[in-house]
Amino acid sequence: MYSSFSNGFAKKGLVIITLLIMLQPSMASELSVQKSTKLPLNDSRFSAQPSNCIALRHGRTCYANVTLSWNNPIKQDYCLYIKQPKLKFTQLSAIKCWKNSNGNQVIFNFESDKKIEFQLLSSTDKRVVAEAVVDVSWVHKATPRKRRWRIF
Amino acid sequence: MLKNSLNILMALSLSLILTISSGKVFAADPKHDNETTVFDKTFSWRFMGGISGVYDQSPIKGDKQSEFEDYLHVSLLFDLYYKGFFMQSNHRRSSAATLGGEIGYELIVKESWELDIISKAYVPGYEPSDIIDNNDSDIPTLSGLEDRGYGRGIGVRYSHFYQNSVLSVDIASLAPLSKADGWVADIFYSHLVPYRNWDIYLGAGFTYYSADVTDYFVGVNNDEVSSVRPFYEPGSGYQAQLEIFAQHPISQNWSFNAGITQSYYSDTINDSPIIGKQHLTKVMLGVLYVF
Repeated sequence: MYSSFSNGFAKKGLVIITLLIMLQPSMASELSVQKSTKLPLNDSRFSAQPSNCIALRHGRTCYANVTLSWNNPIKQDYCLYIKQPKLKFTQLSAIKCWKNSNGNQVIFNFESDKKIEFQLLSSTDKRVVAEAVVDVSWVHKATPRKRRWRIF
Repeated sequence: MLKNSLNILMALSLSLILTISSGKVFAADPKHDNETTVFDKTFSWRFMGGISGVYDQSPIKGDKQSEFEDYLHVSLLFDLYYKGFFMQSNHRRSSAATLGGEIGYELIVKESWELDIISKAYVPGYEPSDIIDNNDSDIPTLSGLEDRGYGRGIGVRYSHFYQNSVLSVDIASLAPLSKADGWVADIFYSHLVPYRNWDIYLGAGFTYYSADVTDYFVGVNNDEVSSVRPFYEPGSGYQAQLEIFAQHPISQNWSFNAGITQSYYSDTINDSPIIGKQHLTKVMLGVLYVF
């Protein structure tokens, strides 16, 4: 059984109006996504890209391959960690360590339903050299009820 | 005569059930502390806009997509929820103007099931003169055929929720709200398969149309008989559907949607002189903006 959507003129108008409405706020939201996640401490540079992982629905685990890049004017040994304030340093396990380096990058397999903060530490004095964060957000912020949906 | 009596009896029974059930619910506000509510709030709303490209095969003989607009669907989708009353659009549907919207009231809300009063268009209508106008040449099987209005119905919907699935059954009478008398039973099962940031839904549906419904939409009455359009009284019929639908986030406000549906119809519908295609494939690719 069948449906027909006629009146092409009205439809063209609806297309234009909808596009205008939809494009306007989207630019604002894209700008907000581009907020800096570089948190340089001293002269270090450390970034996570993408800085925002987006899942469809609130509470869902978000998946992304995040590129963590850093550089520092001082060449020495560094390690990359996930920030976990409740754990002692000795309990942390490094994502990756580099010897005698002043810049590098690693791909991190991000799987989380909340933001993850990363820390770059100097291996020599265990000092936090730089931090970066990957936020998690959702297209549908509220939790919808389970629905019956059909395409056609 | 007998058919009319049965329809009136069914509409009356339905009204009686709804009246009794509504009374109960007004007394005790439905609880919304589980996932079966639209949102976990007394009042909420949501507004979305979608644009999609659609390959939409029509079962009507001679009708086909030809203009650019035929392939482009624009939809403005609005969900509203207030103390059990809801108005919701179907977010997958490429065009909310047709069968997407439904209004209703949650009669009973439990953890694993729900009973609603529901009103929606179960069968899309068609205007033969418009189809002929949109087509460059005449379509003899449609020429002089009366318009078929939307088959909006009112009924009850039982939904059962599983971990990642929902099974729902609608029983609705078209008699009070549509020119098509009769009733519809609609069963739909949808299963969500999450894969990384994708939501993939596998769906199967079965819709039974009483004889009055199919007679109205694909039958040919005595006044419509022509040399290429014999009298046709189909009797009851059904539609079976299989579908796959996938969604993926693009940004904080945009998501990408894609879906394919395969529909099968009973012989009583396929044998109508108005019907040209028997098994339909429909494909949709689009984006949705959540305000």
